[in-house]
Amino acid sequence: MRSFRALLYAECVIFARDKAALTFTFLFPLIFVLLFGFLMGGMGGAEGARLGLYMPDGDRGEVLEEVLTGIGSISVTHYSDQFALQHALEEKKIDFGLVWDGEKLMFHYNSTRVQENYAFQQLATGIAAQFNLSHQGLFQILTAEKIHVGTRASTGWFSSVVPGIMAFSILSAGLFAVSGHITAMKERRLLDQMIVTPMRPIMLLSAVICVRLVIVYISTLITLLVAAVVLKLGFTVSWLRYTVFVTSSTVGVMGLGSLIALVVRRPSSASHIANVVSMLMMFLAGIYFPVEIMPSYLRALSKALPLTYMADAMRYVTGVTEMAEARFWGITIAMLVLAAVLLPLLGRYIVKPDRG
Amino acid sequence: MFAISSPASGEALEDFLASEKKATRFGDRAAVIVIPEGFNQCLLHRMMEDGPSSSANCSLAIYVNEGSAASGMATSIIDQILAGVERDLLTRMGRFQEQKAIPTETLWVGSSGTEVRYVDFLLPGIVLMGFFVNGLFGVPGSILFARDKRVLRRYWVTPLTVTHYLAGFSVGHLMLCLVQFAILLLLGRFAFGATVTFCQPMSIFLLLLAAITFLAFGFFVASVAKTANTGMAIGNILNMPMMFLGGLFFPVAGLPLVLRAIVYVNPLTYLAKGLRVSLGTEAGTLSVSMIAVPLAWIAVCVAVASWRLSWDVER
Repeated sequence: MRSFRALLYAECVIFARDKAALTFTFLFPLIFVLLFGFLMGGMGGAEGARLGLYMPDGDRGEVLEEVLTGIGSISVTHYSDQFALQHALEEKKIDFGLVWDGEKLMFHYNSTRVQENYAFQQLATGIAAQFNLSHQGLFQILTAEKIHVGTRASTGWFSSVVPGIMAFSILSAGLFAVSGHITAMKERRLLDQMIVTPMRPIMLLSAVICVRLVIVYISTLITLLVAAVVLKLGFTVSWLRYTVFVTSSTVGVMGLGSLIALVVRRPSSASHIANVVSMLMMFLAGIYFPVEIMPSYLRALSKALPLTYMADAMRYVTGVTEMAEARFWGITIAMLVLAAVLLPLLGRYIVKPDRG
Repeated sequence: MFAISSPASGEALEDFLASEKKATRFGDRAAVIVIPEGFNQCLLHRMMEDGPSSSANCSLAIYVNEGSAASGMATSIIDQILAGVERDLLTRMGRFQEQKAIPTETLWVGSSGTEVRYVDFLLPGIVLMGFFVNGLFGVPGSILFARDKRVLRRYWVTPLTVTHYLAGFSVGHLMLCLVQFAILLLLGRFAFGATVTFCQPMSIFLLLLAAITFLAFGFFVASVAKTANTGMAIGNILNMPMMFLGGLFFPVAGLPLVLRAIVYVNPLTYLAKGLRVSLGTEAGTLSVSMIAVPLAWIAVCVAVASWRLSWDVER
């Protein structure tokens, strides 16, 4: 137990001195959350979209005005000429524009809003369809009532991004803990020196895991707190599940990190591989973009990534989305199994003397 | 995009609906459409009427999960399908006159009059990101790890000069950027259907300028970091803010003043904008700043690197 305490202390000191690890663990998620909070805060669907309307022949616009009023979820600003409307669109004072000259409906979009135009175009299609009926004195015969089946209210896309970032910070901290830290110890032959002492490899591994667990837990809490306080996002955290999940996923990804450590021996190469792996997962696991907008083969690939499930589970424990209880525990246990299978390999790696 | 599952023959409808609603709630289904009994008769009845005063309810029930992006997309698609079906029914009944249908036109403000596909907007940004990450991590990584392991020290006892070393290093880096560009271009074109073409003198010039800017940036990081680990930490701190505040992936309008300051001094902002304008995927005209700012960064980085870059580990 004395050796464990000594190793625990040494790991804490090493972590405090490791600038890269500190950056990845504490600064990264905070930068991400704040950056994306400001960048994505105004983005969303077409709910509350701002439409600019110009009707050169105003007398013939009554039906259109009625249709737009009926849509309800948009705000309409009138413009006195087409140029003013286009200028407002370029300046992003409105989200999309409509010109009705009595003959045709001309929808205007800002080509630089590549991510948002899809939602505005859907809205425009609805306006055109409704107007076509009303213009011929017809009424809607086919209606659909939308019923929300969830027990939690919609919280917006960015609320789902924050738990995704937390899951990503667990992934990077876990991957780098093993691939960077332990390979560096191996390269500096510190592990070779340790195996000739009475220390058991499991003690070193336990010390590394304990320190990382505490740090990752604190780091995710800080991220959650900043998102809640600075960005005014609401989370309903299930603390028991949260604690269990952060623990299981951290040891699980450390298991994945051991795979990198076993394949690549140099710490610089291991860190580069961990960097590439985590970045690829970040873009493909639906952290910043919904998986649904990706092509089908990338969606299939996304289902093979642990980060996808980690992000889903993190959204569940923070109360952003719902998930079947069995599925959540399935993910949690899968991460523990990953750790149980892969960490012993790391233990063998630690005790294997480097003959290089 | 979506697969449709219907109740199996003999399956109790209530059970099917309950399980599908649960699946929608947990995000395993995008939406559930329920067509009520007597829907067809109701629809026919409504089509015969002159006004919307019918008491008959021929409404479809669509169960969605508002928090799910898939549900949002499915809802939009269902709305479009319903509008199309409705128009078709009314046309067949002779009530909707297709010849009187109001045509719609789409106009794009701020481009050459065409819609910019997201992949065409993103690809130049991804290429620049590749160059940037390569310069930010690859250049200081190679120099600092070689310095930490005292490899560079051994070079200087050979006839190799610093100029030759840097020239070789720079050419190697630029070749790596070229390979990276080719891979990303092929991937974008064949895997994602990107149509943007980089074969224009201005685009090629800006790509070259970007590669040189980030090479110089790498030298800058190598010159201010004392060890390889510090270099990687500096790279990590700069990486994400510069990448996301350079407009590579998202438009960067409407940010607070502090963040806008980073946008203005960030060379990626000008290179990304310049490259996209030259490729026609972004509105605007090429301005002097799109070249002058990256050139200024090259000058500053080279000056700092030539002043501070140490070729041996500190004692």
